[in-house]
Amino acid sequence: MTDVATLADRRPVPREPHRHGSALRLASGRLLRLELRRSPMLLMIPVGVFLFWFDTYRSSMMLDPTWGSQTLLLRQGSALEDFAPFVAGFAAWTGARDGRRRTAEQIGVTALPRWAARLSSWAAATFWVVLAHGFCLAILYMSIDSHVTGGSAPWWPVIVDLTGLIAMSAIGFALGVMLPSRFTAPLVAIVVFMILTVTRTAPGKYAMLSPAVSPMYSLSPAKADAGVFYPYGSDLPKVQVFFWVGLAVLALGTLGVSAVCGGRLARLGAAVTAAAGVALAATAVGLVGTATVVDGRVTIAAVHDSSQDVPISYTPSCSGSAAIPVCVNPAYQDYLPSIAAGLAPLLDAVAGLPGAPVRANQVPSVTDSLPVVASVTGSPATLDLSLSVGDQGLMWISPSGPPSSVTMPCCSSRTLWSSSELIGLEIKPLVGVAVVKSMVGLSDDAQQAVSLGLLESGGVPASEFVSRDGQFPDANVQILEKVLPGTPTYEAAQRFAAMSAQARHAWLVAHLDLLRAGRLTLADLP
Amino acid sequence: MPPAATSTFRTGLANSRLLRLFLLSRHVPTALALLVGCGVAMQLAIRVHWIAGTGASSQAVPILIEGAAALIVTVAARSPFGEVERAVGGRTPWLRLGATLGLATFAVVALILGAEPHGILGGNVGILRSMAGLTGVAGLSAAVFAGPLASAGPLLYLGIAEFGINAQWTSPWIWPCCPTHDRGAAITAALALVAGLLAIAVRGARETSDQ
Repeated sequence: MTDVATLADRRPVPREPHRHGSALRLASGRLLRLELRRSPMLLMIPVGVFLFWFDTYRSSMMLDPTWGSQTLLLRQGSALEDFAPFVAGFAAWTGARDGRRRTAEQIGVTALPRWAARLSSWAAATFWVVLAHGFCLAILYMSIDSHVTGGSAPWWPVIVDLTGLIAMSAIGFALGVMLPSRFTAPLVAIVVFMILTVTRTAPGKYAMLSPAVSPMYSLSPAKADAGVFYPYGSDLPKVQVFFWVGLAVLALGTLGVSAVCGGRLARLGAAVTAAAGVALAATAVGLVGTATVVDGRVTIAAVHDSSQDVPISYTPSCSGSAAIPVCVNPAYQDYLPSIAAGLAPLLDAVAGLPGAPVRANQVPSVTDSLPVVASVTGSPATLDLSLSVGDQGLMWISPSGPPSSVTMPCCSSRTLWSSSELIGLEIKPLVGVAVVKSMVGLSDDAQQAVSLGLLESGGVPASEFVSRDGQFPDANVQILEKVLPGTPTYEAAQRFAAMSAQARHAWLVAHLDLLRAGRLTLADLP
Repeated sequence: MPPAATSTFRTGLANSRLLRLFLLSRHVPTALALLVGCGVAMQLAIRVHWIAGTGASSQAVPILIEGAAALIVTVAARSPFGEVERAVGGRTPWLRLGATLGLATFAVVALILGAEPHGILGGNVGILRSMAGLTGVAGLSAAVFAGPLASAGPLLYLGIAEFGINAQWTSPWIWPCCPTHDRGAAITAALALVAGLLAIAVRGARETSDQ
């Protein structure tokens, strides 16, 4: 009897499968809900939203009403910079919680694997970051959409921003776990702030991995007319996303490698995850090293989509009955009247002359260091105007200041391109020099005198160049700046300008070929 | 030894022990090491030309390093004991004031030495003004807010200052934007320092039960 009872006692108790795993999943879900309700990241939201409004939103709304212009600051990383230091710092504070309160040992013996618990804390904090930043970007895009005149909405900057913030949250959290000191959180925030500041002014290809972009230093500065003439480039944003995802995966993997995180298998999984993150980030670094930059457009062969190289087709908007019509992209048609009126005196003065352009076309911008880059190409000659419309910052203003009719604040891009007087002051000299250089040349005294005379007749006095000595970083303008009052060239130019339009026209028709060939001297001029 | 001298000696021993324990509880040795690190960071930033020229970029990095130093000074003002410490007597405010002022002074010296021999835009007077003002802002923030929000105040100020530098503001409320000789900015920074030190001394850094 005793042996039968003993045998019965020794029968193995059937194990109920999966109860252990489901209990852990339930615990992890409960932890996530707790963390969502109690995350310190909730405190960050008002601060980040305020700074976004103060810095990015207000400044964006002051720019020209096109998608490319009003998302210019977003594409320069301004929105991410508003949030990133706070996100990293608050994430570090969250990660350092157990170490700071000296409860790590107590927490370490709980059933839920440490890696899962840490990921829950991080996920809760990051959820609020994504929600807040996404809300801010949604408000920005809805505001732009309500009044925009042209272009298309870029979506890659939104993806890059959110990915960057998720990565910074992961990195900050991991640093907080590894260095659970009260000093960690503020120093992490400052270091993130500094990295974004320094990479903004760093030259070279690898600096392009940073979402913070400076128009002065970057190889591929964000352009205000992006999405107007060509589709937005996606090569660089894709590689940026790879890089930031790699860093995030690396940081999250390192959360699970310490001894308290569980058995060897779990820790091995965490190490493999971290290695995968390193591989992804390294791949991104390698890809950006293969980038080629032409006219500010980045091409990375491995991820290139050739459809981005196809210009966006459009029907230009042209000024009506001018002798030389001015045509712009429909996105800028609000500025067409002022541009046409501002250039009219110059274009009317050269219209019909041998070699004069038959029309003026807006082409994609090539630089924002000059308000316009003009060139005359083709046969029949066409005046190509690369207009810097929609950039932030002040434009050049003549030494005598803006006209009294122009109200302050002067001179944003909107103010400049809305005023025919300012266009006459700032744009007409640069356009005029390109036209006369093409028609006449600037190589010798006779050519310079006739060029200056033509410009004078078109409302660009020779004294304008002298007074602006060095202000226009344009080689052709600098030639004319050296023609000083009282010199024979200057006097010849004044005489040429004083002729009647018909006499000027007749003289040029008869002598332009000789003048271009350099076979005339000042003595041959009327 | 006469009884009076013995009593004085024991009081001195007790005071020095109190001071040592107070400084240890505030992680002052760690703070000092980190402040030396800030000085080294300033020197490195100059050598690798992160601080060069006279434009906005030459002001941004030094202000961030000074902000880091100010945050270190005020993080060290936090008490590990919370409300309990307020019940132990009248020396705590003087200890808090002395420790914060001492750390701030050490920070200024470390940054000035870190900027030598090249110097930065604004010079030593600029460093002194920035550190004074940022310490005051950080101290006020630590006295009013608890936890990570205490650091958010100075960070927010740094963000606005950087915007102001790029936009060429000259308001004395944002002293990093103003020239070194600007009297209004110097007065504002000094007032901020006084307010911050008083807040730290009287109230101490705010703590809540879940920090």
